[in-house]
Amino acid sequence: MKKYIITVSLVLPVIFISLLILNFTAPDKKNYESGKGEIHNKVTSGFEKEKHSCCSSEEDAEEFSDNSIYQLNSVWTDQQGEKFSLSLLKGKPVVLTMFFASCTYACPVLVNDMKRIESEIPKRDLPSYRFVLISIDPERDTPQKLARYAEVKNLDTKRWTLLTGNPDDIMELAALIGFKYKKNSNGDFSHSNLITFLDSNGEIIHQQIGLNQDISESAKILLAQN
Amino acid sequence: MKMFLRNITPMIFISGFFFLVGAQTKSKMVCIPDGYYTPLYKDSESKIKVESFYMDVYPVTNGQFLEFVRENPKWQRSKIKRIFADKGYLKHWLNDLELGDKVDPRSPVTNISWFAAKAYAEWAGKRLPTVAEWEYAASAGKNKPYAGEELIQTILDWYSKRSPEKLPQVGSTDKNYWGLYDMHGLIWEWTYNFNSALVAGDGSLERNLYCGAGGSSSTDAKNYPAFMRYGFRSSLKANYTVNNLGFRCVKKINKNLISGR
Repeated sequence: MKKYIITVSLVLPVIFISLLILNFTAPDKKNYESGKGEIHNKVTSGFEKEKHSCCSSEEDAEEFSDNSIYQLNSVWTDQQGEKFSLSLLKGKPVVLTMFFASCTYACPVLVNDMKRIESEIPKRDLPSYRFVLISIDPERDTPQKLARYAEVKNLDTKRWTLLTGNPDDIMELAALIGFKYKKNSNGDFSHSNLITFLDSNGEIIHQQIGLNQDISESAKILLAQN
Repeated sequence: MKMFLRNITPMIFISGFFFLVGAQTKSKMVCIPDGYYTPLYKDSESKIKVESFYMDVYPVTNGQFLEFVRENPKWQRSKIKRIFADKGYLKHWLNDLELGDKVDPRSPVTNISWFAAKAYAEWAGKRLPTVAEWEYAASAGKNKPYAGEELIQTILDWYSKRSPEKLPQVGSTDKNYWGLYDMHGLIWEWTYNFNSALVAGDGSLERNLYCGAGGSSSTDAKNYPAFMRYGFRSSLKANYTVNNLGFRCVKKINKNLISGR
């Protein structure tokens, strides 16, 4: 019996140490997506009424085509401070641009270009389109700042959504649509001047590169979506 | 019962020991201390401070990547969404879960997209290095932290060689001052912000295409390999796969997020 106790007292610490080691190494390799899925379920927003199915991100991902940017399950924050998933835009053609609110040169022109495109859409069809501005400057572009930006730029938030998010999700989306950007030492950004057009499935159907371009081609492609 | 316990004790010890050893050798990292990186194209500042970080000693291998796709089926060759990787994704493997005879599990994994590399890094509890981190770590020579021209010649020699049919194993090329192997001479490597290269050609022309491109200029016209890497990165898209483009991971050292991320 003594021997038995000695053996057990030897074995138990070993098991304990093994478990410790397991604990140390195993959590490193957690399924990195499970967390995101949970948040995804919690997403509520002004567009909630349009979102019928409430399911996990994995199931959601199945709904989207292989080339849909809605395969991303990142969670953003809109100008009202509400959580927002890009997939809520599904079902509508989307005009999307990445920008930052304190940009004095290119971004105001880009927004103006988007408004020019918007003005090509017949008034009765306007509710079927979405315009999205996504900030690459989450440190400075708080929801309040984005809301003010929408006000100043006279953007109708019934169809315009301004989003901010975490730096990693911003990088992922930028990489996905081919938007290049770089933070400069003065806190501003160098970036592509790029307007991206999505069909109702979230697939990129067109991209307009540059500022102050002729928008007729882009508008034609967009109008054909409806 | 006593016999059983007596026999099992050393076994647990041994398996615990191997577990420890296994976890350590699998992806060794070294600490790269604080330093400065001089970007090829500068804006107002010519040097960027790089905070210390841990970096994988070797690029991620086929064998390690296989373990990742085994645990994360959505990254397997037949299941991956086209938006996250083009058709060349893991094309050198036999199938979803087998490397086949032609692929060495100890060779660096290539034919992977930025998304796949990033997902692997997150799975491993790490992340991809920024351009500044990678370039800073890669600027070391064999015996000093900044190699300068000696390294340029080494890299040019590598560029001039034909790509081998079968990629050598990791660790088969030079070890640098920080203890990193294969930073040059084996494969190209993905960086986290590969899409931060905005400069090309004439500034005035670019003004309409890129905001802020006008004020940049090259800092070291002699550093031809740096131009090559710069050009290569700027030609990439996040779902591209290339047969000599792989990656390695880094991990932060309990400090605030590295600037420039």
